[in-house]
Amino acid sequence: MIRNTRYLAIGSHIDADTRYLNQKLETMAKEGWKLTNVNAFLTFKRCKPEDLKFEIDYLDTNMALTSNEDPTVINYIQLCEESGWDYRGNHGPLFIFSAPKDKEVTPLQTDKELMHQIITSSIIKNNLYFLVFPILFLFNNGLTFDLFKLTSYSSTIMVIVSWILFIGYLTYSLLNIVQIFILKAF
Amino acid sequence: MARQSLKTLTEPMYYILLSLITPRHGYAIMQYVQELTEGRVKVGAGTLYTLLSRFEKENLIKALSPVDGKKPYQLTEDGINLLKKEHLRLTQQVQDGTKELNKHFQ
Repeated sequence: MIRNTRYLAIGSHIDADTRYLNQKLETMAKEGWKLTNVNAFLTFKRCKPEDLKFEIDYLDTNMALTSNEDPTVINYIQLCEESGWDYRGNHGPLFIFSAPKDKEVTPLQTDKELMHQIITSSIIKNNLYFLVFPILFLFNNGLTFDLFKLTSYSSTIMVIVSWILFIGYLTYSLLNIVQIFILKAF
Repeated sequence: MARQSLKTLTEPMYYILLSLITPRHGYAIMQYVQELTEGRVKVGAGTLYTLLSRFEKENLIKALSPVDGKKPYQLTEDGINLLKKEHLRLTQQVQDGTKELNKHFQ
């Protein structure tokens, strides 16, 4: 059976991974896969092959507090589109743009040092915010290691779930933040 | 107060501030810088957007009322002072350079 839809995980925010994602998007467009939806997973549908180049850019804003209808986001996308890039979608602060390969367009980021500052600041802002939820949840439900003191079976489960969520979110968020500093050089 | 964080300006920063002596919106800034420098300095949309937010926070530029859905910016007093200071610093560098080069290579 011929597949008409494909999915691809966005992956990490380190330079090497975003460069890989850029190349992958180009290859997929060339092979006739159109990027139709941007989320933690990218969705592609079958289409005519296109010669496109892609750019992945970060917006230095906490996207958990900012909707895509916010003037900050609208103005940013408008400016990128005016400079010749087509907005394809975003997953939080990670924005994907494309342009025909033969079109002369200025890259979105022309200052590498500033770009690293933007990525670092954006990842920290967006990940620290997400830590608030598991911490609140933990304080509400699971601030105890002594499971035997709990009165009911359901509260024991709540505590265990809270701890798992907390540790999971913490690891995920910290890894996201730490990778920016450790792997910046690659 | 002018900001403390950016003591000297990078080339794109200098040209962006220079372009905002008269009110301009984002894309007009990009075009102006490219034309003025004959394509030598190009400012990407992502870079420009970040720098404009930073300048605005540091009170070097201010946003004016939107025209045709686009927000123009203009230099503030702090911005003008910083631009003049940077211009003086660059002029000094060129003068020092000319003096030394002429002394050794003429």
